[in-house]
Amino acid sequence: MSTSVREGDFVILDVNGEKLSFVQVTPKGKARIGKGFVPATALVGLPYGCLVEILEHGELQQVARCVPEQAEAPIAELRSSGQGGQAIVAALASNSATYASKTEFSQEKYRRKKSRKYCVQATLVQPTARSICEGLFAKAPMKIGHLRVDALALLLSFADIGPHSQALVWDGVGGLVTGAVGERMGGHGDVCSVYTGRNGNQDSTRLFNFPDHVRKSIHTCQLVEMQHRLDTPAAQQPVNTSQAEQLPNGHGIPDPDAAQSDGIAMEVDGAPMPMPSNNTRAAAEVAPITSSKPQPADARRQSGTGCLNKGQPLRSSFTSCIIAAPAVSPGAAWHWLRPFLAPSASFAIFSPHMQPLAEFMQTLQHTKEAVAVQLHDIWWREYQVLPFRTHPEMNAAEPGGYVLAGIKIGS
Amino acid sequence: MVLPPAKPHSNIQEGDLVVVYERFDSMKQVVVKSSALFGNRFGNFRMQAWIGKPFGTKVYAKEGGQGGWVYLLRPTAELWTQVLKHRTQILYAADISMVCIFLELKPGSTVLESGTGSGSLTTSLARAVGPEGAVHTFEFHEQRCQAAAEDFQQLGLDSTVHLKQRDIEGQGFPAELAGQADAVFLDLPGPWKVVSSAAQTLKPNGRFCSFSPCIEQVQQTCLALGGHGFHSIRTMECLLRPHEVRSITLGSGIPEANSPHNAGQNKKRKRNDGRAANQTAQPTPATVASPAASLAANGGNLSTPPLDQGNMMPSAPTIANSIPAATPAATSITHAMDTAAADATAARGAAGVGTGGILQQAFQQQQQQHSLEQPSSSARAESISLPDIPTAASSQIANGERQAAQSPCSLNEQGKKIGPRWPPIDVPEEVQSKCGHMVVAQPSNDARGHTGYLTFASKGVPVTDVS
Repeated sequence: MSTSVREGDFVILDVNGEKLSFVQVTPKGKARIGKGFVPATALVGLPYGCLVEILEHGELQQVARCVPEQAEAPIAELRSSGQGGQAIVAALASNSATYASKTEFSQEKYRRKKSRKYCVQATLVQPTARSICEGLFAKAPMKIGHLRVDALALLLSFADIGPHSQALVWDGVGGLVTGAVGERMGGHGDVCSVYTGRNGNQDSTRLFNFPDHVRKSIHTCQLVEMQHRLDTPAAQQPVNTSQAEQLPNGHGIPDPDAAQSDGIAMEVDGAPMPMPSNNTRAAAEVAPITSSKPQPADARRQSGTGCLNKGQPLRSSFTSCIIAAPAVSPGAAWHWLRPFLAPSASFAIFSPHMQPLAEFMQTLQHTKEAVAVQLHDIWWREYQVLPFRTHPEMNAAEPGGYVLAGIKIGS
Repeated sequence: MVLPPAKPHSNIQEGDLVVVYERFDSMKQVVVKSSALFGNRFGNFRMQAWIGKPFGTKVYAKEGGQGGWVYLLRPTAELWTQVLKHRTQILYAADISMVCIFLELKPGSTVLESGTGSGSLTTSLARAVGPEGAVHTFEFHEQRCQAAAEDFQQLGLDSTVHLKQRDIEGQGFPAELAGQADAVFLDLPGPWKVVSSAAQTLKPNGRFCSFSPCIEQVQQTCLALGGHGFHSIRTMECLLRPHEVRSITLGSGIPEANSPHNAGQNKKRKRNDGRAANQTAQPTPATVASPAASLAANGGNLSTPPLDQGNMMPSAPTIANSIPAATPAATSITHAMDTAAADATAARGAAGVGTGGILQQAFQQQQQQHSLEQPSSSARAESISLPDIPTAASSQIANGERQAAQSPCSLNEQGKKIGPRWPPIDVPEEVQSKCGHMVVAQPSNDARGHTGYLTFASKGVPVTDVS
């Protein structure tokens, strides 16, 4: 992973420690810091973790992180010396008639308010599972099913995700979980991400700036297609072009979500996602999960390392399973994915609601197809730690969801 | 083996470490030796029979699939945390998973850890960084260091985990690791003493974490971090609360005998009893006339909440006492009844001394029976039925008032004492559909409490000249 920003990267801006935003470094992109804008390309070459601010004349400058007790100087001088806005805030504080008489809490509040005006700075944060999840959770929690970063962390641990795994993921949260799994596997094993038509959007995987070898290891496919691969090797897939041309989804399998289906057999993330036109792609997309001959739509697709690309049947091929699809019943998702899991495979299921997981846990207790089954409610709290002002953060903890984990056993 | 890559179809080999799963709360680590036995309370297992079987298999103590059994599971970092030998207090899944995600570990990363302790976190760090990464872990205590080394060898991690005995608080991290660490983790009594060394060992923008049980330690550490150019300092706590799941049955508040056509979930029966429903229909003004009858017809409650343990009849004494009293009390009771009944009640309110007494006695009987039938709260995955209000069986009430004025204790066919029989109440469909069997989850009693605070920070990057 690169340590500095490159063209085409996604970058997360942490503005004043208060707000997170996503920026893609493209020629037309813009980075907003406070009230100012700079072209996104201004970020290229800057190291991740640095602090930047927009100067008066609109230029982006990297600034040193300074200790608040700065030498007093006129504001203009401080600005031009590139000391950064914190020095201005310090100067304002020391020049303020009432500052000294305020309580420490009020002083802190004063500095924050002045910072918002004079000193809007942003840290360039490298997109990782952690920062992307926090950014998305702050921006649009509904889109990720309220999957908070602590719940995501648990999914990765309980499902035993690592470079040694073969992972099967049902991602109904826009690709966040797929990306996080891909990051933890680092291209060593396969990540197969299934979805039903409606939730085919895996855009969030692009935010990770994955290098090629990781991108290649992530395979997304529709559940119906996955079903077909259960006992049939890829080479034996029916390539029936005439039939494909008639059906919108292009692979001859009736698709319950046909209305929303994009009909793409396989997608490799990391490249821009064009909106598929069903008819023109129908013939090209009949190809099985791995394609032996390159086709126009597969131009970006390259061979990977694991069982998926060897074209073998996929029954009992996966050692790890994560289901994060709040719109799907856990019992139903388990029913479809269970045959793909090897015995002793670890699984973890996320839901923003406890009741569906509780009912599914009971089912597992009756069917006895899993052991070490646990249902957890996750509690997370942050603290403000300052001398004589240490306490839990004022903002209320948001719901983070529930996780059901267990180990599948052999029949 | 945890590492190298676990092939999905791999089978158990001689010398493999397996996790023997006995029960939900009992698992053990066992090294498979074909010549040996594994003995537990479920039997003696010949490990010879385990070899060649896939992980996840159920094995029996006796041939032919009889007798005691256990499951043989592939070791994972989570299972290892639950079966390892505790030499120190260890970290559990909640903290371990947060450390791995907040330190932004990925295959190929280099992470430093001090102290190793029992190796609980170390195993997860090793999993995260993979065979191309490195975990440099340091333990101060010599014997624990040796025991940890044995564990890592048994787990097949000794190429990834580099263990050394060293006093990190006193000496800091080794100079040869300067500038090489992507992440540093500290679980020490005085982590603020190591912040300076951590800053030197970390790459720019590297990630720092310290785990401390006490807030004072956290405060000291945060001060030290601020003074050494760390930023984005965050302190947090995370806990897992496990839940138990079971089936329960919730009643409608109206006992079966009081509404026979609503009995159980049997819709067929309901249809058959449709006619019966009309026969034992709404209380006529005559039967409702007795305030006692009217009140008990409601299951004894002012409203009809679902039958709930402990929510039986807090209002019972109030009803019993207020009947002989003036009309206002009777008026308050009428919320649950229709106007005709209410008028009748109010009219007869004054005559109710005797009926009040009978009512009170009936309620007391019901309360006693209920307390005897409290379900045990330790039941797991069993069906628990909450008790119905014990009811009279046979006698029909032709005239409620006359019935109520009689002795409350009649005898049924079996010769058992029964209370007075009340006119039936119809439970509407929308209420019925909310009752019956349901699955519920409840937090476990043995949920873990506070373990420690996690403090994360990023090392600063020097201002670069980007031209």
